[in-house]
Amino acid sequence: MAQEIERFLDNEQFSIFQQNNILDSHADREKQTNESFKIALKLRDLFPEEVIEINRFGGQVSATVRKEKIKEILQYLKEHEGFNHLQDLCGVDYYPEKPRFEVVYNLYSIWRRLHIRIKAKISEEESEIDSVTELWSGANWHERECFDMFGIRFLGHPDLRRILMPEDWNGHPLKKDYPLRGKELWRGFREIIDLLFHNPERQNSEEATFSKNQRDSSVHRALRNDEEVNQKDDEFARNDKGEEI
Amino acid sequence: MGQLEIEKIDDTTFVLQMGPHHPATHGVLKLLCEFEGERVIKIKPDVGYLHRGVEKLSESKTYPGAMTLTDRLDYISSMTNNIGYCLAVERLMGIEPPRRAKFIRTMVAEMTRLSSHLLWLATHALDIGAMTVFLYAFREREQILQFFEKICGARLTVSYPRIGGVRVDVKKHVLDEIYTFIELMIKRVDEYETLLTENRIWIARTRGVGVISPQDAVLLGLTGPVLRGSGVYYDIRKHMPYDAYSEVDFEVPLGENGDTYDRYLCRIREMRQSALIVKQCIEKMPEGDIISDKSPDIDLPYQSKRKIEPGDSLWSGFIAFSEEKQEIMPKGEIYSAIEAPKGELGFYIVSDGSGKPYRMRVRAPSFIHISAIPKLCEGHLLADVIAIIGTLDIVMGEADR
Repeated sequence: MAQEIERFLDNEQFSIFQQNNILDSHADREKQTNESFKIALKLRDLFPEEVIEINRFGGQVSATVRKEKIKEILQYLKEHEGFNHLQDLCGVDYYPEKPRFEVVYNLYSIWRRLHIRIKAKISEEESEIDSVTELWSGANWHERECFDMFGIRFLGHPDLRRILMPEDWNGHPLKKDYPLRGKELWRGFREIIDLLFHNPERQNSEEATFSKNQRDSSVHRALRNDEEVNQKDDEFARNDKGEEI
Repeated sequence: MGQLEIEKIDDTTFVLQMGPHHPATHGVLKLLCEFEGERVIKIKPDVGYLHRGVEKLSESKTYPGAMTLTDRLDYISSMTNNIGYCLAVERLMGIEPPRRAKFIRTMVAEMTRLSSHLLWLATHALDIGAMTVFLYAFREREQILQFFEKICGARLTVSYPRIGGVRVDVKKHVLDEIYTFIELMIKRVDEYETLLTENRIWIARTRGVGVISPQDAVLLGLTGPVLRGSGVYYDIRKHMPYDAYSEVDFEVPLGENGDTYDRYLCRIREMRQSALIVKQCIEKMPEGDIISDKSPDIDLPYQSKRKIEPGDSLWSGFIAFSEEKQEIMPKGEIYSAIEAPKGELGFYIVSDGSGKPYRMRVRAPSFIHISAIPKLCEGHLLADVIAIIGTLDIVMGEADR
């Protein structure tokens, strides 16, 4: 089997172009799951130290692994088993379990029509993992988002910056101990408010007149409330380290 | 026009900041471009202006409650977003919708694909300079939106599909009207093609622009028509069939060169195939229930008079929303993907057994497509950047979530 796959992969025009028949019946799906499960078992034979657990749920197979050799494992799956499409890469926070984080790789083989999920456990103290951007260039933004949302650092990533949140944001929003309603108004927003409402030079300008008219509006009240909450900012910054809020 | 900031680095290169408010960026997307003369040397997309924290918000909502959030992802094809989410929860719970619901869902999903592709065609052509197509495409899109209004009462943020089925049944006369419209629609697609396919200006502006090889496209994670334009056969409707796609007959159009023109042709052919699927769905539509008995949705118009008691099939669903700590959902995680008009829309849901999703991750196609802009724009002219943004068919609501 492995030789056959390698032959396919050596060929530049490998069968991502082939139009196969539809697999839909229940038996076909069962067969696919079994095949994915076999691959997971093979993975455990090859990396006995790394693979902790193999799970089967809802017709999908997932393998939980240690983070140290994640790149080798994924490289093996990509180059020898033909999982060429990285469907998704994301983080999950299992606070207060230990190890706390999990990075999930959903892989799909376009020509074999198989799906497998690799989950790497990451502890809070060492929230670092090897980047897979060398294997899939599409992982770049996924990893940036994961860093933005969970604070997991990807070693060897070419450009690890925040992507969805502002660059000077404090905290990582998708952590379980991060509050749903933030206690903090973003600095950039606050600057605009200060400029509009508290700048003496602009008191007679158009914006200031506008703001006076708006003072009683609900929008303005909402902003004022947030400013009051801001006094607790320091407290919040301390709590961002994972302590209770 | 948005404000353009020009910064000169030396005599030959300069930096141009395009967006976030630029009509051709299809939303609040910022591009930092470095030019040498008129040629792009480097381009850096910047996203996040429309970030609303859908993933965080969904953790505080119940499973049916989180569905309205998915409407706002790709707001011009909310029907497919709902279906993708419902399908993921159905696979998690292990329930299957009735056959009629499957056909209705397939029909509305393909109508959404038509309306989404019409909007893409309109704006893409307008960006490159063909004004007429815009007016024609919006005429048909309006009709599709009116059908949505007739089916479920909403035009854009529909929330029509439910976990385990759909909300309301489609009336017979509405199906007849849709059937008449679809036959007309196939002719209308030919009309659009007469305006563009052999148009010399269109070909000059699109052929050879934004070329990507099939291998690169797979590694970049591109999906949908953008991937198929490069000739890669990957369509989730065929690879992992859901709803009634295994029961309808359709082809997956593939391109050859992987340029903007091929992607245009792919989408145009896809519109024809979508029309054919809608037609087949109406022809084959069976009678019967529209929602599964095990659906956790309790607020159904035709079931609302039913008294819910322990032992009722709806009781488990009722518990899910009234008592959080009850272990009602199966514990586990599922990744479920559908073929949205833009590409592969995936939902990764982790369940801890309670009535709320522990983690909901949205794999948005537009997000990945934007990350491919630097690769696609290498060595092209400034005007081609606009064509490439158009051909990727991005929606920022989905990219920023």
